[in-house]
Amino acid sequence: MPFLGSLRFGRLLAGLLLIGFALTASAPAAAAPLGQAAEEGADLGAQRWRSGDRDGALAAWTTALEGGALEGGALEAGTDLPSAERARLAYNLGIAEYERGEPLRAVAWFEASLRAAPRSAPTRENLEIARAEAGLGPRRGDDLTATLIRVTSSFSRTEAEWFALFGTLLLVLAGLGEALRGGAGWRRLLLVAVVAQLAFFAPLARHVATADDRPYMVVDPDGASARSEPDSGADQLGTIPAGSIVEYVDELPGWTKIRHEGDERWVEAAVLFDLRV
Amino acid sequence: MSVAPSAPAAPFSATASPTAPAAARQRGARTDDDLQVFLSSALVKLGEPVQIFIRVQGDVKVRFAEPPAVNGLEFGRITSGGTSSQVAYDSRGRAQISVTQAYGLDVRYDGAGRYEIPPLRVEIDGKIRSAPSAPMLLEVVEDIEASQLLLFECEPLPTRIYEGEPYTVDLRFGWDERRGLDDAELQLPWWERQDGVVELESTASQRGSYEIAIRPGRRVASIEEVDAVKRDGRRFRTYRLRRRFVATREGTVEFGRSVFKFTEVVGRSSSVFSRGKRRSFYAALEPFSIEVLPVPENGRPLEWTGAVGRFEVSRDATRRDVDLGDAIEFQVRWTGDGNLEFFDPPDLSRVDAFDRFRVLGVTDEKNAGERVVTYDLVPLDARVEEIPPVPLSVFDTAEGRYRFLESEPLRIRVSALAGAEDDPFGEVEETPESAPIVLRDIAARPVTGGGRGAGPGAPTAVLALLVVLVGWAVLRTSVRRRGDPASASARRRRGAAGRCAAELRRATGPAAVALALERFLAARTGEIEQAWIGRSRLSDGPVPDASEALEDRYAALRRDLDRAVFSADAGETVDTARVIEFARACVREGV
Repeated sequence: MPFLGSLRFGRLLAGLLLIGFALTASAPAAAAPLGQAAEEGADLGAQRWRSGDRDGALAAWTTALEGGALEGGALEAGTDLPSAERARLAYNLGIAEYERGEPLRAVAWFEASLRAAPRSAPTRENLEIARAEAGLGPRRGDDLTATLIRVTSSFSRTEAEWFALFGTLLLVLAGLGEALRGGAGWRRLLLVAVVAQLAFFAPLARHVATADDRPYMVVDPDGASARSEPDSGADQLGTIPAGSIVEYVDELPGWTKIRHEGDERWVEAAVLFDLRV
Repeated sequence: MSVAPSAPAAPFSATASPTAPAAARQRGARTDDDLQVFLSSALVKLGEPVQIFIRVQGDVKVRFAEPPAVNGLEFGRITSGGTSSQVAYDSRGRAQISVTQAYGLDVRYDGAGRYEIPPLRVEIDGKIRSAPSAPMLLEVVEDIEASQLLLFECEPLPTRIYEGEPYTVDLRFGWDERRGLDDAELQLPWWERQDGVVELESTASQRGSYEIAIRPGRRVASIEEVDAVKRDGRRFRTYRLRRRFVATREGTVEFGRSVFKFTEVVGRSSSVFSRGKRRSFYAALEPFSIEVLPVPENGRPLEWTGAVGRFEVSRDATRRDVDLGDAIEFQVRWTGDGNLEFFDPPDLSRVDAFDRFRVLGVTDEKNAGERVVTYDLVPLDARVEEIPPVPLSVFDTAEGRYRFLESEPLRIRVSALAGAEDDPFGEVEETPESAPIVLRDIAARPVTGGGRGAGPGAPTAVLALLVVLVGWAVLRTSVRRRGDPASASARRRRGAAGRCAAELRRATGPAAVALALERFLAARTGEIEQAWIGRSRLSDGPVPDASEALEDRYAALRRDLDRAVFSADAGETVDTARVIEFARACVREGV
């Protein structure tokens, strides 16, 4: 019978979704060993920090963070360490840089930490303190665009994916109701659920859109001299202010090509900080 | 009693006095009939006014040269006394008209003595003439009798003052009280004629006010009567003219000879049109001057706003026990001999000591002898315990230097309201007491706030979305093939089991149970309920593919129900649970 068939179809659909969720949720098990190594490194750094060995702590955290890289030594950063661990290491490194009198580098580390743990209140507080110390203004404004960016970026990639899937579940419920029961009420509910998918998928869409971004921050207090070619004798096309976040385009030994406000320029690699950790 | 202004002194008369030409021969010299120049009096008492009269016959154009310089004398401006005409008739009855122009020239003398006034030069219709032909002789003598009959004194004045420093002119005058007053006036050539001098408001008279004429001019001034003065066994009725002045620029303030004129009646007149014979006495004060010095620039504070002289200050407040946010009317009163009217009161909003107050308003009152400034102060902090001293930068003329005059502090109590915060205007800059801003400590645990582990992945989420949408479309299409699930019959069909159970709970006999079953089947199959009466098999109706078990359950249930309904045994019945179970089975099988 068609009715019985529709019921069975709905159950099948829900079952498939649950199976998919279960399968994807079990995926990160492979990163566990790296996460354990990073955690040990982070703890070692914390012990050194408490004992007053600031340089030792800095080295331990840096090593722990690099230990999260893939085998082979190339720092394809930010792929395997648990995000919470990456956030902790970057956060602690930010504090260490701040204590060393490098507020701009501290700002960069805190920014990197926030990319892994966007809603960490201590990180946000420290970031604002470091920005103030570095002579930079508040991180973001209060206008509509900034607010939207702040909301959508307050989800980590993992959270954004689960959030989108949760929205899909709501759509399933509304779809089943509308298909099996019909009526104006269910239709309205389905329409709301469809529109709500924009909000549910917005954080994920932002993550997907920026997945290939390689943001760098200018950490030289004097800013970065933007040149037309990767040569210190090339024409200087301007100065990128300290604290600016630019996008990586290309690199040559000692030089990085970046995009800033739509213009591509070459700057010395030493004045840039890779925010992907 | 009142001191009435006297009649204008010796007015020019168009017709002049009949005896004027004769007297003129003694007081001057007559050069010609068409030009007469003569003194009003060749012998005068010290203080008595003197004029030179000039008369020109005919309707001619007259111009005067500068009066000659005479040591000890000063001449005023030549004033016109008007023109008079006389008409005479000769023996033939023809009219002859003669015109006379009259002029006057005030003469002021320094003191008693003899003065010789050279002839005046007059241009008449272009011809220069001199008149009189011989110098005019003027003798000024002391009024010996006036020194005994009159009192005229001035309180000592400073010989040197500072610019902006007030000074008081206090003239006291009177006469022997046994004398009858006919008229009195003061001749004060400096009155209202001193450049750079401003009269200040004086305190009101305590014993009533009178008025006295002031010469030259036609002015009057308020005076007050004071206690009678005894001198040499005589008792003088005494009045006082007291004024405060302030010199607004450096230089010299000149006070010319001041004269008090007293006139009495010495003989009664028999005519109602005459006041009788009168006699005047004159008492004079020697000229004097005051030097005005500039206020020094050296040592002048930035806060100085023009206060010069000696001041005293007091303060008060209407309320001294207030709640936080309440306004206090704080009154500061300056008194003394300083220029109370000519300085700007301190701006407390610019005084550091008042940084815990807000000045809502300032009321400035300038009264005689005092300056009262009321500040509306609002304490900004409940910890305020006093209103600080109000500083006023003053140039002290006695010490010749600047100094700050401060009021005494005034203790107050400010109560904070329950639940209210200090600093009602949010203006007090609190001293930072908190620890300096430091970073949060290092993280000993993984930083939360971003989720743990890995997510389902973006492809999964997107795929799930697409599957749901496609599944919904397929499911919807499939369901709609059977009709609209929201139609009335579909809704009735979906609710058939529930309604059946409800009816069975209310059923009171086998007939009601049978009716509930028939309604259920009718709702599920879309037939009317009567179609199921007596139908022993499901397949007899629109349920051709019902399972055999369901058919058997229906047949048994139908049989038992019919037996109970149509049996003569009233106690026979059917368990409603069987009907409910059957209904659920029907729903499960899609009947």
